[in-house]
Amino acid sequence: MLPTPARQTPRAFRHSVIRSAAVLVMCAVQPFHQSSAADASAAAPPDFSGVWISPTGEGMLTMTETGGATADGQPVVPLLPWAREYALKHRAAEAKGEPVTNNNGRCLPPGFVRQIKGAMPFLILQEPARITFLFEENMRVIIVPIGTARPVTAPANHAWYGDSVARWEGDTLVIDTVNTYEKTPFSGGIPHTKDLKLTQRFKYIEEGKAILYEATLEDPGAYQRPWVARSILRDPNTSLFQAQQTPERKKYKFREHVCAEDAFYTVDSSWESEK
Amino acid sequence: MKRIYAAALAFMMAGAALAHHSTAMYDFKKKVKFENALVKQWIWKNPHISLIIEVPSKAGESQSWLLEGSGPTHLVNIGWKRTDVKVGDKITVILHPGRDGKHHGVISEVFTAQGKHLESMNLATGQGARRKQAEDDKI
Repeated sequence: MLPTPARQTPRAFRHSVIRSAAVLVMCAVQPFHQSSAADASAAAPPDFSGVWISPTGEGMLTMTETGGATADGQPVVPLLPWAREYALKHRAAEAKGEPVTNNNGRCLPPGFVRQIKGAMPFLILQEPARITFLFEENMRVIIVPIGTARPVTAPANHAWYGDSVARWEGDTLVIDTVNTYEKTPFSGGIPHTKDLKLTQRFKYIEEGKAILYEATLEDPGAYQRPWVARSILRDPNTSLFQAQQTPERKKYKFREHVCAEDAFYTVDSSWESEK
Repeated sequence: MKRIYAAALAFMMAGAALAHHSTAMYDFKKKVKFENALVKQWIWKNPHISLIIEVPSKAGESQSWLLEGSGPTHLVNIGWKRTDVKVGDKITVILHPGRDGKHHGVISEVFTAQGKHLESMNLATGQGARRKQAEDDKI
């Protein structure tokens, strides 16, 4: 059984926010960037433990915008030519009503970012040396050690969610990930390679009621320059399911979700030909 | 009749795999309503439920429609139960049809044989269903 995390209460967090008002204002009006060492308060880092969701249609700031397309249908993510062709092919198929099957559609893992930004809630359990993500979607788990080391960047054993290490930049949790498979394209048909360097940042906003989530995607094999996807993570009881909330039901109830239980969705080997 | 359902099932298998995350094959601007639709199959499984109904065509013959909806994990949260629909039931279904003109679509609303009104979460947006508290969810 996991030990109960020493969570910083919203009230305590609010006090720390007030002390760092200038920092908060910056975060509220623009994406956060790497905090300097001076930003790091002496207080314990915030605790992100709890139930969160990236509400559909809300806070999909740049995965949609930069992962979307311009008025003339061109991708605005700085894609290299092959990646641009891949994305346009994907979007043309969508426009025709003949979408391309991806690994997510085959109940295979969608990658760290798409898992966070999925349509279903997830639970964060934070401990001093480890942060655990428990996703309702397919009941998946990602466990990331917290330390000062960066993940090994040399080619190693690739994995669906890659090799991750978390660290603190002041009150921002940063997760560095490398060595992912290339077969987890982002929404909008945005591909990546095995050389993807993913940097995810989590920071409380709105007085601790929400998390600003930012994913920086660096991949010289697919992108001309790094680009950023952002979202706002909220308590599912106050966002997506707000209209469903009743006095009797204050806490989101996780349910079993086994994607592959339907024989129609069972994993096959054709994913290898997708790329 | 068996041949019809075999063909229908084959089509559903192809369509369902595509539909897990993209819903581009459906026309969410259109709605089709079938009353007294005969339930031929009702598959209550994640990641999407599946429903095969038989409805009379304009020519007076029977047509099979293959429908999918959100998954049980979502639907239980908004009041659906596996037992709300049974094979042999006569139900009313409102659906968004496929853009290709074939007899398939995604469920928008169901009026069960017992008169229960169920709404599906909009697969395109993840929103739209009104809260109906599940009976097993009172905590």
